[in-house]
Amino acid sequence: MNEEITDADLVSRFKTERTREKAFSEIVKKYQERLYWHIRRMVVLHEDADDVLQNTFIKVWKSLENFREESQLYTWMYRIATNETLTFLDKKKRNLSISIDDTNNTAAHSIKSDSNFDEKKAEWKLQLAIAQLPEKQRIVFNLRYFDEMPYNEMSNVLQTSEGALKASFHHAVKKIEDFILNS
Amino acid sequence: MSEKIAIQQEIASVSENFPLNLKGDIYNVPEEYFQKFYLSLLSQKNSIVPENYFNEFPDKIVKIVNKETSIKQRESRIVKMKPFYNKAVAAVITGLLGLTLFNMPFKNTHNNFLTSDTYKSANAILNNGNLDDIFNSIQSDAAAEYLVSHGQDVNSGIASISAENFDFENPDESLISISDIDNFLNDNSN
Repeated sequence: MNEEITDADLVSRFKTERTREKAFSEIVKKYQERLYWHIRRMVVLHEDADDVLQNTFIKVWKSLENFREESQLYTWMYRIATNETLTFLDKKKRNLSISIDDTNNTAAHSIKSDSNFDEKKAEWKLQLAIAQLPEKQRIVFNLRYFDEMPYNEMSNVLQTSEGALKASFHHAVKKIEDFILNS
Repeated sequence: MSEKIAIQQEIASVSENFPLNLKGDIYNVPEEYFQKFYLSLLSQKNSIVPENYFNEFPDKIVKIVNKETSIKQRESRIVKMKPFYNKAVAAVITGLLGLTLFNMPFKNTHNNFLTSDTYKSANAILNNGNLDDIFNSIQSDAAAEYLVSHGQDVNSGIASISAENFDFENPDESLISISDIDNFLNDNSN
């Protein structure tokens, strides 16, 4: 019988010195792909996603000892990943000395530089449309559309009210539709 | 109602033409990236700097510097006094050895001395060639105390330094001349 270990179990094992490493490796294996794609859709380049994902799990390792289980483990990790991603994008902006408006162009540029990019394909058009959105709206859209995250969990991750998240998602959907229709 | 259906209905209520089936990931990921990710993470994790390391670092350095400074101050005191104590302690050790030499042919007790702890210690120091280390490790207070309580040894040491100056190659030059002895005997006779 292949019983999946619950998050609460993993957290409890992590807090025991003897089982810590093993529990951490299980946590990484369980969530690495989901978090990777959450990050990758924002930073676009694999190398950047890899850096941010590593930083995310290092933060998880350092903070899990004090995790108080008021929220679910995976929403807590999504929050760390989101913060790491936004910090990374801020740093990148500062390093490139570009304005906020140009950030979206940079994301679009990264998408277009992908070796598989094909502007005729709807999937790539959708990615370019998402790249036009402001950063936080992109995160809301991605979490809802790709990760199918309920608003109450998203509210935990982004520390924003469900109403504001819903409004943000609807705006994003409209903008993307406009972009696809007009491109 | 599943979340997936709820999302589709939500999108449809906002946009009639929104593509609903484009969720596939189009970006490439290097082969076996996820299989190898934990290993690369481990190497990163092992190089994590402990929490508060940089906050505590300046204090650590100040402590080390203070410790070094106090050791240096103590060392400098030893260096200042060293020439005198070196000679004094050297005199003691040489004196002990000198006494041994003098005692050996004339006294039956020399065997006792050869087996004494003092002789063994002195002999070990000379054989090991670490006399300088011993001198450097002697604290001025300890040396002063020793010299006060072992005055006789110091005298013996000084006597043996004189004996050391005896030139065995040219004994005639080192000995008092015959005429000097004659004069001394004449002056002190009767």
